[in-house]
Amino acid sequence: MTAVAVTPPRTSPSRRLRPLLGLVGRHRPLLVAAAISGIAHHLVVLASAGTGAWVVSRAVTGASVDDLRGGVIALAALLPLLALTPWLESYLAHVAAYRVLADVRGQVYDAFERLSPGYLMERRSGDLGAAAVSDVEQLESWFAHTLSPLVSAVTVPVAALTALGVLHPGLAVALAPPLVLLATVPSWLRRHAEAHGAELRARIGELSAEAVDTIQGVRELVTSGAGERQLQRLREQDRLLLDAKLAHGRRSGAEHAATNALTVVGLLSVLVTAAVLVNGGGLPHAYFPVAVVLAATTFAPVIAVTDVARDLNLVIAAAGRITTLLHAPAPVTDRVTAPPPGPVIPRVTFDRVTFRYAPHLPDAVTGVTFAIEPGETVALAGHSGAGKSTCAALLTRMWDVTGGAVRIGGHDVRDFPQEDLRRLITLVPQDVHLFTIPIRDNIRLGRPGATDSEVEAAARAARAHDFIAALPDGYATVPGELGAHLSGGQRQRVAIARALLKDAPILILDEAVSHLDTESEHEINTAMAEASRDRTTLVIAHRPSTLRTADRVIVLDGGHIAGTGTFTSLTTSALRPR
Amino acid sequence: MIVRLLTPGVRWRMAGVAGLLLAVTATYVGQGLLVAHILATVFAGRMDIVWQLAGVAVLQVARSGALVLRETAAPRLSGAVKADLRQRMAGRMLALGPGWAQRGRTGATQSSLVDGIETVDAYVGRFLPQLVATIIGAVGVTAYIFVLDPLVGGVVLACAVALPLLPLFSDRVLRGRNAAWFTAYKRLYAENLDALQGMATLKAFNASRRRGAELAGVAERFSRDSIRLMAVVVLYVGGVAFVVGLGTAVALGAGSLRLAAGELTPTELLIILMLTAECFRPLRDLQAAYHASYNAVPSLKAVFEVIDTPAPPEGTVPARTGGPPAVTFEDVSHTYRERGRAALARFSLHVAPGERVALVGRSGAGKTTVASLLLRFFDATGGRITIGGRDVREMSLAELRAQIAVVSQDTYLFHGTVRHNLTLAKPDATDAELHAAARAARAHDFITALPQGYDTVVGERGMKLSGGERQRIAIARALLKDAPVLILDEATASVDVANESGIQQALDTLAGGRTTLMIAHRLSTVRDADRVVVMDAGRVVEAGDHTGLLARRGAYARLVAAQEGAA
Repeated sequence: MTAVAVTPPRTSPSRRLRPLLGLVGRHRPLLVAAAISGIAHHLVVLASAGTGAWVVSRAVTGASVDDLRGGVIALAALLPLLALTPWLESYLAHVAAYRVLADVRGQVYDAFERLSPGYLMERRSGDLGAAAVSDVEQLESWFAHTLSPLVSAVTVPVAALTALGVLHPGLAVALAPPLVLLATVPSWLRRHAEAHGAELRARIGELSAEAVDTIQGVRELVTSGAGERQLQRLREQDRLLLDAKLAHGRRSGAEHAATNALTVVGLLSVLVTAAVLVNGGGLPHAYFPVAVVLAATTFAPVIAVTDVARDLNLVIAAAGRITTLLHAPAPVTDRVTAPPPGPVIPRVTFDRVTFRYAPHLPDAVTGVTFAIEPGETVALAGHSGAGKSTCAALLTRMWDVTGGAVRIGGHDVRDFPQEDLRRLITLVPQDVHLFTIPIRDNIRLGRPGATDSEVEAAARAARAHDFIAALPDGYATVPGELGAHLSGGQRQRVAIARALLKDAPILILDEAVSHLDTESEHEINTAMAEASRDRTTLVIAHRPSTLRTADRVIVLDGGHIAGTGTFTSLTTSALRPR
Repeated sequence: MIVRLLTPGVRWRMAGVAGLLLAVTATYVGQGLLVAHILATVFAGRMDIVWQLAGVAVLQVARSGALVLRETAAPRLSGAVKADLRQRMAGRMLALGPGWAQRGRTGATQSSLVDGIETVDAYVGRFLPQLVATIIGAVGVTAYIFVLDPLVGGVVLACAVALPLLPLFSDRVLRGRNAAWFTAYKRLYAENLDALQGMATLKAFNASRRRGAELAGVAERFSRDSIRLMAVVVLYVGGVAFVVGLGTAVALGAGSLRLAAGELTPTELLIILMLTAECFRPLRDLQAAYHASYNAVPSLKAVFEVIDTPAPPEGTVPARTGGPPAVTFEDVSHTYRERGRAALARFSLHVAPGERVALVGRSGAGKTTVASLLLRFFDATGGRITIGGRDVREMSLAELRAQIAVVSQDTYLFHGTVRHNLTLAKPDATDAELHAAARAARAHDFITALPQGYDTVVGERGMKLSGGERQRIAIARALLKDAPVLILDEATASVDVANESGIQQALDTLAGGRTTLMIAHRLSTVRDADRVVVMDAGRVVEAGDHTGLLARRGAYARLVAAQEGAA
């Protein structure tokens, strides 16, 4: 089985920004308001700097105190706006960011729901989940700190150029070239920026992996005396990370130096032009400092955005991964909106079922045909990779068959909406996931309306009541992270209780291979017998004891059925290793 | 904490970064002065400004140079601090061992070790040097303006002082809300992760929509809380803009009025015009640096908490050499933290040199605790454990653990090649030794069938191996380690029926001539033990050989009956 790689496609920068904008959704008005406040803020700053310079030059050119009063009052009048506009921009942008993030989290959840578990099957440790959560976090800096400055950086210099042009067109002409050049700086080293961004992320990933190894492998490390070597590996990863950061720093340093130099080129260019104009009488003396200060201030929004945009590569990469996830096609889609009419007889039939996980892979099962009668228990046996789990996955429609059909009560499983199909089938998986909610709610996952006494009855039948009652808070106990405080056998029994309470006519039992002690094994067998009674049951078996109690055993080998019969009737050779 | 982050070697680096920042400030001040002089010259009707223009250009070259240097000097500074912190934190975690690791949530520890320490980039690489440079730079520029005109200088100074005080004040107001927000954030993160990891289960039980709606509610509340907090935090943005604007307006207004009154020269006023902006520039930079490092202090506190956790004391007595040692538990009692019931209660057991003892009993009987105490993952709350007559607490941890090989039911595979995983305890093993161990552990065949054989990458992001395969890797690992004491923890539990007999032979090879403690669940595997010890509620309830115990019709016989009933 292979997982589909989650890599964003390489495209042009404007197209790469599109996924980010696509996530904005219904919060567009808020972001527009934030951007307008941002523009207003920079315009107020321009006005206030210009006014200050005008007051100064009036004073220098010999104006009286009365002449200056108007300018000083204007400066004072601008003050509240000077404080209000950036606050408003920041506030609105953060509100929008937090709302967008909440939305995106919901979308990611929906995508996982759509794609799970087929698409995500190989990511057992949930690293994709962790990546999705932290990728969403990355977007905060874009929505709260980048988007609106970006808008200001494009619009405000245009306004400043216009103002300079009003003072004298020559000034605008002098300032325009360095401004235009400045806007192109990020594209000079874009290729490097992308490579460094990818490298940096990869390095952080490697470091995280070493950290996981250090923490989760601590038992092996200390008992093997390998701690010092693990520290060395961490040191090596730190060194490589530093190298990546330095490469990133050299590139962003070069950009920073270039943008900074261009602002001074613009300043000098305006300064010289204005000096020549003033000297030739083309520009009043009083406008001279105004022109210089305006030129210096024009660059502020551009500089502000280049400061944050240096890390934009990381944000775009995160957005790319999120949109890839959001747009990934579901492995299975509903082709009907209502289940077949009438009661469904829980007879399961596999009719010449063939399936492969991807076109380039070999068949996982080929021409598999068998039936499970209502109430019968059939065990699938065989080595790992023989196709046992695939059969179960096709019955629950984690995937759809490539050829043939899986039927329940004579109806193709594809003729049920997925929710209706899942109502017919209940599952005890091999790796039991217990949620960090009370045990009681873990058990009633499939039937939220169940009463406490129904939950307890199911737990008793699953031989789970005694140990649950002995837990610190009984049924209200919240299992620790990944259910760490419950043994494998106990988790299995909680899963069986969960399945019993759901009470569906068809049961799939994927037996756990490990973690059972003698008594647990005995209790689980009793619980499984309880669960499969009166239900059409498919067991993916690993233990001889299970094979013995099944009504029928189907031995799979290389995706084919190699034998069918009772445990005793089957020749033991089929179960022996080769 | 700042003092602990800045070790002597790092201090000079930080001074260097602060120096670069000061150099940047100095070039801006120089540029302001030159531009003011240019303005004054042109106002005076002259055009001899070439030298000043050249001066501005030279300063720019210097500034660009300083900026380039800073972008690599800052990561070097924070990189040194980060590497050191990671070594100290990981080293302490290894010293504290699995007993400590079990208490925390691995996710939290991992994020401290990686993301928590990464905040040093913003805090030590950016904020602290900026703080130093801002104080020196702003004070210097303000002092100069003060010399030009005490009144204007006073106003600028007052505003400059007010700026750094604002966050201190808001911190005091916000601390509680910040902590609450952080808790809510971690909860949202954890619940999302929980749901995403359990999605297959949620879906199978038609519960995914319901859980999704609940999570949307949590996210909605969190978003509201964040907005409420942020409404106050961003007041600072407005506050800074206001103070800077006020300072500039007052300085320019007062300066202009004083010029009109003849108390200031035009050049001096132009200098004030150009320099007030420069006074506030470092302060704005500081504000940005502060915003970028807002989460560093709580993150680094969590890191130092780990580093400051006292490691168990170690002895210096060397282990006894030559032949397998005896292992003795004398009246050992142990109660885990936060548990009322004792896991072991006056447990005594003498394992003779080379003897194979099997511990059996239902889960919770204390079998695994026996192994954990022998390895000193925990220290027993009472009694004494000796190996070869030496108390385990008298030896160094490394020395103690070098004597014990462990094959446990959950074998962790490290990211790396099969070879790396096998030679964990013996990195200098030759290929011949490696293959011999793998053959003896029945692992050679499946390893050579892997795409790159012994060089196949396994672990979290490599090839996945089945439980039985991992087990055989662990056995080969233990064979290579060749320690005189062996702990087999439910060693055949993960092995499918087809492989069980082969593994059993491998384990027999492994146990030969070693003092062995077997923690067994499948009673079929304990028949060959020299002695079977039946445990219940942390005590020994029966001991003897398999047949003798069966004949007694006691606890062991009941366990066997239960197993056979199950089989």
